[in-house]
Amino acid sequence: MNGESHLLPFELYEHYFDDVYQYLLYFTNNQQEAEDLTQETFIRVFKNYQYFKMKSSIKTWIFSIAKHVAIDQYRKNKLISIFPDFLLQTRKSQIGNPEKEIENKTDWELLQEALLKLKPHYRNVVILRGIKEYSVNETAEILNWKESKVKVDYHRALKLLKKYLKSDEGGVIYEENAR
Amino acid sequence: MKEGLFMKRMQDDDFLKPLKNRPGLKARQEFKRDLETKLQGLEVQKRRYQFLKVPLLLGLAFLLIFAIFSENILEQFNSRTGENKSQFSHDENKDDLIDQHSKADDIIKWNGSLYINNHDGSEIISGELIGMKLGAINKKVAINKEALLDGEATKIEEGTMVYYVANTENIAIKRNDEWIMYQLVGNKIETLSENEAMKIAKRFAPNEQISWNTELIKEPSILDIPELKANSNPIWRVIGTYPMGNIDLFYIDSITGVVLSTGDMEKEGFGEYADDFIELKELKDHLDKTTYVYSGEIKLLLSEKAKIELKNGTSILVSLSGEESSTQLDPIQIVNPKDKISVPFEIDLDSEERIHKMLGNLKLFIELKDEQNVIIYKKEIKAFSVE
Repeated sequence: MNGESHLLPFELYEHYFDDVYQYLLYFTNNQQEAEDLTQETFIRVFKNYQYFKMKSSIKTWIFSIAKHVAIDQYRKNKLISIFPDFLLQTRKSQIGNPEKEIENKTDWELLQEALLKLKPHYRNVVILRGIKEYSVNETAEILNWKESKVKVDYHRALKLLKKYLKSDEGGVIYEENAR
Repeated sequence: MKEGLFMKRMQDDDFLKPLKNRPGLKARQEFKRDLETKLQGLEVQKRRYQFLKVPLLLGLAFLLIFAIFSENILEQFNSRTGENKSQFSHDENKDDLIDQHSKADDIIKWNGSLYINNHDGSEIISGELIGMKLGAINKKVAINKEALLDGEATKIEEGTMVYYVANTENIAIKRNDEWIMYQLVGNKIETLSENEAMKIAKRFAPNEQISWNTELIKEPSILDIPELKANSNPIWRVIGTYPMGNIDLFYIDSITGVVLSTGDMEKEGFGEYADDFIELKELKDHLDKTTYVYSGEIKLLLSEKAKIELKNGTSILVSLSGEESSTQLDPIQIVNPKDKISVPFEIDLDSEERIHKMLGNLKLFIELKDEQNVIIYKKEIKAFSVE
């Protein structure tokens, strides 16, 4: 039990709004989507607060809700993204020199783009462990993983992220575990 | 393949630093305020701790007066349903949606959308309402769409509509100092009854000889099964016992009716199987619905009845039944056939759709081959998610 256990839902909102929003922004790289998902997350927090038993940290509870919301959205986007992706690739080839475009991109943009290429479970572990710097224990609680899985998958995710960054910009890289 | 430009610029230690300082991390203040207003409508009663400080007698007196007062209001509603109009004059400052101390029966829960219909069935208001308590008076309800009142479209300002929850069927809305009662129509959340839960389980095991028992687990966190532990709704555990004593287990979400997990137990002991020369012990498995990965460990033990000696080079593969080509694992060498052999496996189910398809019907196919690649043992077992 920590000091946050006495917080009421509205106080939780004040306390965790920024962190939740940032997590969802990293996950989506889209301000509008991050706002929508933040709203959905806190509505679920308010709806389910009465069922929260205070047996785990309230922080990890809120983030596990945000994670579910983000993954739900990811699945919805995945379903409708097949055709637009195809169009996007066609458009890319007409824009001019892709290398020039990459040169103009800042470091964070390149990293964020690479992050979005990761599967959601890898993306989550990079955001929570690497960017938000949550402990292995907190990350494991949020993702409902064992701590050993957090360590292994974090390592694999970073490796993959670097692989994407190293890759030729126009090329396609498949994730190691993709079949 | 040339090295990426970013990688040239960054040292490994600083790998994620640019993302930590990326622009846009601060949310729009306007959005934060808007959401705050919406959530205010859902805020639980903050005064409960203050209320505890009030002397007991004063508190009881207050509750008594309030109870009598509420009863009068309900009577007025009931007596004037035909007219669809009532006048009230009670305290409107009570701003709680759900009092945490309320009994579950007193709370009307809504799953997202709410439609408030006129007595003739015409829809007048639609929007979002999270939950409300019977008898609650509230000024803050997240109604975010246009409402049609008296034939005129009126934009109801978010968080300002005053309503009173008369009963599970009706809601009164205050307009121009008058209370008007409307029917509630929406996605009210109902808890599954014992019979409904049993009915769901019976679909998976339609055998008339099975006798059924149920148990409502109000706090899923007490369960040892990870994916059930995190379930926010109470869970029905439905147990079907066959005449021979073996049982089927079903865990069903008491609100959504989704079958969360299934399993079975042999009469002799949980997770134990037997064969002429191989005993399969302790199938421990776990289905991660987030990463779509089904993983676990199977322990094999050479039985005393074994007529075939397993030699070095014997291989085993574990696959999903009927899908050998798509999910089979690399063969695992048995070094010492007399030892207990632990076989870890991990099968990527690829998608949520496949998980749904497999749930309740997940079977593993175990196959042993000798060094000449001849199958010497095969068995199909029903899998389940336990840890």
